[in-house]
Amino acid sequence: MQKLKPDKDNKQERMNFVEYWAEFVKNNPDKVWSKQQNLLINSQIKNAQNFKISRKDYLEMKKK
Amino acid sequence: MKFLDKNTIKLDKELNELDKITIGFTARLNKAKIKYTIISGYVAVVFGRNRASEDVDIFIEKIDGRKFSDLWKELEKEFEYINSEDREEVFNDFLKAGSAVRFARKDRFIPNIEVKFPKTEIDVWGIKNRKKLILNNSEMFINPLESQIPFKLFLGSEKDIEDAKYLYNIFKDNLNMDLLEQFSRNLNIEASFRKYVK
Amino acid sequence: MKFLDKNTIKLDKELNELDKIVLDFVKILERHVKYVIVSGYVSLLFGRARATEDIDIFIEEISKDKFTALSKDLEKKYWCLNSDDVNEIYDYLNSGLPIRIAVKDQTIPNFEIKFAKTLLNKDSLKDTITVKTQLGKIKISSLERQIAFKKYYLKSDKDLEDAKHIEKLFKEKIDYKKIENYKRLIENAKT
Repeated sequence: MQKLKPDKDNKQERMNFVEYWAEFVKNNPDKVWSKQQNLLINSQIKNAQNFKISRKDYLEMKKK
Repeated sequence: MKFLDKNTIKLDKELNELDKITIGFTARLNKAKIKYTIISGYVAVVFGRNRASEDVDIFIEKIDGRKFSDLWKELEKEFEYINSEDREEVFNDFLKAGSAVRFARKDRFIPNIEVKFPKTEIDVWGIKNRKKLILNNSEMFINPLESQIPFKLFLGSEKDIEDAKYLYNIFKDNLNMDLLEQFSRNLNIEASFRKYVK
Repeated sequence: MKFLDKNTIKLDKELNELDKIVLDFVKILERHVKYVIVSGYVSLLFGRARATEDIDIFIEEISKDKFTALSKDLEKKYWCLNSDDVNEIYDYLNSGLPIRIAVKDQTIPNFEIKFAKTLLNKDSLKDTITVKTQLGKIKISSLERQIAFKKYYLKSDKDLEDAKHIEKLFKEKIDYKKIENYKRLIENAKT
């Protein structure tokens, strides 16, 4: 796999990373990339569940 | 991941909390024989896009109150509304009126599924031309990528542009390029496509 | 969570997988170089309900020899996504480019590391808070700096929400004059 190209421009560097990760996903079994991605998804959900907010306030927040 | 045919993708991954709730919900939609398509962020996330989401957006075909009642009987085995407890209010005042309604597993509202009726021709087209995703032996239906990718560029936020670039990079060898270009033209995002995605 | 003194916060939350990965990494980093974690992860550490796939870190500019020693220590467990050649990696950093380091053979989460080159960035290494957790310490930039950069420099929806989260959490502890000072510095740096 090609190495990640660094860039001074943050936006461009992020786009480079999007491509880099897409290559990783394409070239590795689903079980391998999803294990890494799940750290992100599950921690987001856990953080959100621990955040003390009522249903009403949550729905208001999502409207914005 | 692999294409079983031009309309069916198979994934065999480690499931996360978002996958599990989507599998559970779409199984109920499948059982109630309601046509739907998954749109928005989850379409990128299910294929590995490295960002998080706490909800999944779905368009369901326009159904009447009786069919919605049948759907609800199926859903309430595992899910509940987070907007209201009044089924008729949810159908008449929200869904039919063009608003989204959110369902979640009982006792917690994150993650949740946002359900809407289609509004535009493209929304209806998406349901009609949806693609099948077999996620670890469970069947669900997602919006065609040929419309997802241009639409994300049309939305234009940093997150959406990255989603578009990601999906294009993953699927470029399997896309109907004529269709993709047609949507790009219709949404007037050809310049964005050249700048950010290609 | 509570302030033990004006530069130390004690955090008793249940640490998640991302926190543990960060703690493991900074344990090695701090053996070799001064560092500070900036950006999104800081608000996540304090309970912000979103996720990040990368953790942004400034490190002090160090010599190639010192960097090589750091590299040797890191390479037992981590790799650089940009290059396998320590000379090339050092050149990237020296040219002001960011590098990304992750656990070996993995890609996310990863640490985006830059040398603190500008005066503003060098200042971030001095204006820090130590967060003490059950499994170790993490050095983050001051709350005021976090808020100022998110509100007046980065300014995306996500950053404004992060700033709001920190402001709400720490309101009585925040020095608003300090935020104004940072705002002026940021505006001057832009012109």
